Amino acid sequence: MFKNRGKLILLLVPALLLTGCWDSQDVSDLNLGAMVILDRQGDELSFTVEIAKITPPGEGGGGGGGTKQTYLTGAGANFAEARDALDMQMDKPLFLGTVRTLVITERAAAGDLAEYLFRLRENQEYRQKVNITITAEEPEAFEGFENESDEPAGYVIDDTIQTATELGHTCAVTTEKYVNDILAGRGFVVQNIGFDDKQIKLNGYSVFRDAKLVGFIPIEESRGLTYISGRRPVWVYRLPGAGGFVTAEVELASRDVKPSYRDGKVKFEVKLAFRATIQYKSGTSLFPLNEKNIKEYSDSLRRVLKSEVDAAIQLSQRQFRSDYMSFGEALRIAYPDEFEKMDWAAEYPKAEIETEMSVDCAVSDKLDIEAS
Amino acid sequence: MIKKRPKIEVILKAIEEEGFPLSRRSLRCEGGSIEILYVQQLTDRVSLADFVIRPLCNYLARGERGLKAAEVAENVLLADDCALQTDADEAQSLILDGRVVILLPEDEQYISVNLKKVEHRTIADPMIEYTLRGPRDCFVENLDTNLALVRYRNKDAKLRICQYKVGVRTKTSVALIYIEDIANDKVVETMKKRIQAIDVDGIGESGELEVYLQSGRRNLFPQMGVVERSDMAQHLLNEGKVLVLVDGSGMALSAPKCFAEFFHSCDDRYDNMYFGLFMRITRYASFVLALYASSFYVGIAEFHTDALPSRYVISLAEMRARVPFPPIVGALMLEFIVELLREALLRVPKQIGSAVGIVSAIVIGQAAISAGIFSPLLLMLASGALLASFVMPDFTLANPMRILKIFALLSTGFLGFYGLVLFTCAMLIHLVSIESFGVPYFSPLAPFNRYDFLRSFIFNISLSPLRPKNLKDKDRTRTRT
Repeated sequence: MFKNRGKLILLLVPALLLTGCWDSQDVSDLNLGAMVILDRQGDELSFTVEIAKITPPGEGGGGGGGTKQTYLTGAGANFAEARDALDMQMDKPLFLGTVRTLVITERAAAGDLAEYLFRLRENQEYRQKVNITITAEEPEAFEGFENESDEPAGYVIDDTIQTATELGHTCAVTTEKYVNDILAGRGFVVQNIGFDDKQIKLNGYSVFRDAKLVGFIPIEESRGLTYISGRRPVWVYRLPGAGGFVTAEVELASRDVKPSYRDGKVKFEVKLAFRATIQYKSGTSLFPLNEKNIKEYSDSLRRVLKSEVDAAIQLSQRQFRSDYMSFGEALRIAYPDEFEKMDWAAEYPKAEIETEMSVDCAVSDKLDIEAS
Repeated sequence: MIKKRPKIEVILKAIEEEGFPLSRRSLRCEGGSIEILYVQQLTDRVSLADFVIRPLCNYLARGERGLKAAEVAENVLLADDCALQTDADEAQSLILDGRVVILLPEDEQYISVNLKKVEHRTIADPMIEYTLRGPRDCFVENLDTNLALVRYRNKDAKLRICQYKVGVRTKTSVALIYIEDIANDKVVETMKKRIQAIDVDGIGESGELEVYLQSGRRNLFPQMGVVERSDMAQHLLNEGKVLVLVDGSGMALSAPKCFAEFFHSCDDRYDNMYFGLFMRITRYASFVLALYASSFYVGIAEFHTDALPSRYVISLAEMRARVPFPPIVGALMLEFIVELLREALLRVPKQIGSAVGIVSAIVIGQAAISAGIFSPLLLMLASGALLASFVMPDFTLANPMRILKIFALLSTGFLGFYGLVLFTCAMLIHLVSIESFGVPYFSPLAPFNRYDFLRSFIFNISLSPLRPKNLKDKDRTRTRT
């Protein structure tokens, strides 16, 4: 096969030196992490790791009867010391490739997150798609988490956020995005989770400016934010109309953000086109819906949507002064030189942002007349 | 009378000296006796009596004198295949070949009559090339029957059958079959030279002959195909292939044979094009599964756990929770057991074969997992790989695969997926560097030929208007429309 054995040896020697059976690590000899909680108590940082409980086939308890995972905490003056303290408690090496959620407590997030996020990006042990969330809960609260399938809390949190993203109720964000936002001096939002009767619940968004926690947007007030930042937001509205209440599913069809820079003033024209499908209606007086009713409903829907989007923009400009909706990115692309020279963090609250909504309203074929 | 019977005496003396069991029938005649020599077990005695002895007796009864071999062969004997011989040394081999030798008292020539009759099984269903809708007749251990099947299916006047005797002692009949105006001359010549150059005591089966016909004797991958079905033989001949039939073997050999052809089945020609494509994809996938399944398990469980989605990592860890052996040891043990089972089921009588299978399945499948000896996933993969290895239409490719699987396992066990990639590279380098009778083994992929690739992989081969380019046939046109 090889006429020149020298070539074969040249091929094999580096191969044998690069890796070997000494690198092997049996999966059953690892502590499989499912979630890492970062907390700060005064000057002390702590890592709490949720280690997935490994049950051999046929020995599973199931039924959600109590805690099935192991929680270990290591604390120290800095990240390295905290990690060392954690490793000291491990009976097997900790495997972070199975971690799906990183939870940062609001106490820890109030400090500088940049170092931790940079550290996270460089850490090859973690997966690229690891989910980051903020919580107001204490780390110990996660130990009491229960679910029917005895899944680790880290997986349930990730699944909850994934489901919300698929339904169009939130926007998925990666560590890479956070790091890029920090590097570019932009603000950003991170999903905030909590417990509702021992069940995971998406509370809203924690707002960051200069890599520090500056505020919180409840999920009920986050629709405007998702319309500007979400990939394909979908929400349901129940508004008065046609003699009763009309329920419609509203989906963002297109989003167009046009920046302009004249005489040192930044202006954005935001055009959002929505597609609304009327699904339910209550009352009987004006049925079936005619064009006039639909037009009226469409107008009222547009007003509501505009107020939500305007409120979201105003919140980011006035209260948080943080461009977590990435208007700066559109400006940077359109005016790269000007953007380079300006202090965007200072300019953003002053920027003029005009919004324009259009709603294409249609009636669902499966309209339920009596339901509301 | 001085010349009388010198040949007979020489021949008989030589046979007596050899001392092999011989039947002899003497018919008295003017000037001595006619000696009829034959081997009882190889001769059709009814035909001998009806077509040789009876006509000779009648002829002698008429008081004919001066018997001449030529006249007897021409006018007296009723057998169709009579030949006049003069070489005394050859008589012995003719008799041992099943021919009847007739020695006349007053002639230097003698007659050999073909009344050969060897007990053989009747044409039955194929054992290794089973198909759903193809014809059922397959080759048996009798060369004449096999040649009859080939002739029956291919009435081309250009069909050539060259017969050889191979083996100093066994003198096994070997037939080289090809279609003169299609087959590549170089392949035919190479094959003829290699057959004629064989100098061994004997050949018992086509597999033995294959060793001598291949370009190197240390090949892992088979360079010749095995054909059991006569319809497949006909397809191959029309493709420009050369077939070799060995007397005493129910398997014909076909050459040249490329790697991709091992994935073709007779059904591909008979079934719908899309189903044929689907099945070929299934076979390729089976090859990959059979070769790599256990290695992937070892690679994932031992080196690259992070290649799996996190939830599956936990499932994998749960399945391995009570297994005491490292993945590579478990995989090697299980593969060894699987090979044991496969070999045992081949050897045991059919009546207890199923019982062995059931017991093994219970012992390994149930007890080994309950005892925590093997991971259920590994067992599932090894079983899947075993099933996949049986999907190959030509079983000769499954044999090297069984060996390579162990090498793949060891490479992965030592170096992880890196080792698996190295192993795959080495295997591919080997595959692209070998030839089958001058045809690149990995063609039409390497060297790449788009037309051949599409025809052999995607479309029904029978529908292709041209024969494959890589075979370098004399006549490439298959369909004249």
